[in-house]
Amino acid sequence: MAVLAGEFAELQRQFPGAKQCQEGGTTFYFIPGLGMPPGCTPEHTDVLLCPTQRDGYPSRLFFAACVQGPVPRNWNGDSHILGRRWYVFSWSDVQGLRLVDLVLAHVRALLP
Amino acid sequence: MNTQLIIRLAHPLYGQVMVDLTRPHPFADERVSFLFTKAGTGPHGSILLFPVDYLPLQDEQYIDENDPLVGAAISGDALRSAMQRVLDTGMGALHVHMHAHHRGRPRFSPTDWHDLPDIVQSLRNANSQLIHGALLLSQDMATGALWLPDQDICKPLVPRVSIVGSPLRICPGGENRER
Amino acid sequence: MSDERYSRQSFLGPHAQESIECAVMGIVGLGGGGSHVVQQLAHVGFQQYVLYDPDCVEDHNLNRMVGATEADVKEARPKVEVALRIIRGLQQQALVETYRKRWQDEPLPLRRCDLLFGCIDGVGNRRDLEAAARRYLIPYIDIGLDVHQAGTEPPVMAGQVVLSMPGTPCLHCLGVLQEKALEQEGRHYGNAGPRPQVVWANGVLASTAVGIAIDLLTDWTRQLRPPVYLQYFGNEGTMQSSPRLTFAPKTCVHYPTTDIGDPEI
Repeated sequence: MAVLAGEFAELQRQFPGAKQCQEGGTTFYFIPGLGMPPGCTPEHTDVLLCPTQRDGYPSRLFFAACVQGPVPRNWNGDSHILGRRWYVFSWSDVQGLRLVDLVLAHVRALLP
Repeated sequence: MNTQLIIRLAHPLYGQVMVDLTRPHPFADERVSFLFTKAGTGPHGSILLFPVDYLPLQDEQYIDENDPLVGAAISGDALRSAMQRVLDTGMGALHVHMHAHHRGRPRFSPTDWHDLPDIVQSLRNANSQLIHGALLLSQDMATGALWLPDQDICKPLVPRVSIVGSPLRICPGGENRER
Repeated sequence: MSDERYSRQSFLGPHAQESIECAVMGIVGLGGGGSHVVQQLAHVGFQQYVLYDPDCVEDHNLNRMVGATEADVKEARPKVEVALRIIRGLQQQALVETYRKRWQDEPLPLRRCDLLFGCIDGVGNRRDLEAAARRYLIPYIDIGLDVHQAGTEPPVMAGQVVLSMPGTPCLHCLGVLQEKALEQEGRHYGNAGPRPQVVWANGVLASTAVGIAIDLLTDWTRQLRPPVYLQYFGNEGTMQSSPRLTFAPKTCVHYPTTDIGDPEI
C-alpha cells in the first residue's frame, strides 16, 4: 500500500505526537496515548499501526496493552517491535484506507 | 555510581575511521576525528552507545605545535565543527584517534588524559545532557573514556568497547580512571 | 581453572581464551538446539551467559534436550535450571543470568550480549529476535530444523545455520524469513505447533553454530566472512553454503546500520 502524500501529516494532526518509524524494512506509525472507545480498559494506550501486509493481515494495529472492551477479541499476537512489546487482535480486511481511517477502523473493532 | 557503559562500533564505520586516521598528515603524527553516537538502554541502568556519524578533520584543522609529546593538536575550528555537529544532531560526541603502532588493548597516554577533559568540556558546552568522551584505536582493538552528564571531569568511565564485525573484537571495560 | 584444560584448543590463537572468557553469550531457547549450544559453550570456556526459556522439561523433550533427565521431568524443572546445571558443572565461576520467560517479556538483558543464539521455533519469533539484535548491533546466529513429510515419500529433514551480522544481509535478505511463512504462521494464530526434532540433527546445527561463534571471536580460520548461511540436508547428512548467498544484496536492505539504538517512541 502506497502511503499518499499528506497522509502522515493528516495522522499527526489527528493524533499529536504521531511518529513514523522503520524496522526490518517495514514502516510503522506510532501514536502515543491513543484514546480507546468508551467501556475499554485501559482508557488510553500507545498504538503502532502497520498499514502494510504483515503476518497475513493487510494491516494491523498493535497495542501496548491488551485492551479489554465490551466485546472479547482474539488477541492472537504478541510481538516485539521497535524495542517494545505489543499486543494485537485478529481483525481482518482493514485495507485501502487512509492512515487515519485505518487506525479508527481497527480501534472501532473493539466495539460491538 | 557504577553505570555500565558499552560502545558498539559497526565494522563498516570502523573501516571508514581506520582509513581516515591512517592517512598521512603533512606535520601531525596522528590524525584525529569525531564520532557521534546514538544511545540505547541496557539492563540495570546500563547505557549502550552506537557511533553512527563521522566527522573527519581537514588537514588545515591541525596546529603544528612542534612538541614531540603531542601526536596531534587540533584547532579551535575543528572543535567548533564537532560542537556544531552535536548541536545539529543531538548526539553525543567521541574524540577519536589511534595509536597505530600497537596491537591489542590501547591505553590513553598522559597527554591524552591531560587534553581530553578540556575537549569534553567544550562538547558539554554544546550539549551538557549527552554522553561525550573519547575512543582510542589500536591496529585491532579499541578502548574508550566516557563522561556522563554531570560526571566529574576528573573521573571518566571506561566502557566496554566492541568492534562488531568479523572478527568480533571486544575490549572489556576497565576500572574507572581517576586522574 | 588450569591452563591444561584448554591446551587442546590452543590452536585457536594466543588470545583466544581471553576473547572467549570476556564475551557475553545470549542463548534464546534452551530445548533441542539451545541445550547443545549451552553445553558446548561451557566446554569451550565461556564465562558469561544470558539464558532465556519459559518452559519446563517435559517427557517429549528427553529425546533431544541435552542434559535433561527423567528426574527433571518428574520435578517439572525449568529448562533454564538444566542449562545452569550444565554450565556450573564445567564453569563454577561463570556469570549466568537466567530468565524463565520469553525474551520479549524482559528484553533488556539481551542487549548486553556480544553474540546471540536463536534456538527457537516460529518465523515470527525469529523475525522479532533478529530485529532486536540488529537494533542493538549484536551478531545473531539462527538455527532451525524442519522435517517435512509428503505422501508416501521418505520424510525430508532440513535445517539451517545463519550468521546475521549487522550491516550484512539479514534473514529477510537471505530468504530465510519469507512473507508466505510469516503469513501462514500469523493466520494459524501464532502457534508454531509441535515440530519434529531429533538430537543428532540438532547437534549438527548447534555444533556448526558454536563453531561460527568461536571463529568470529578468535578469527582462527581468518576466513569467516559474513553473511554465513549454511543449509543442512539431514537425509544426506551434509551441510553446504546456501546458493541464496549468490543473490543476496551486498549490504542489508532491511536494517540500515544507522537505525540502531533506542527508537524515538
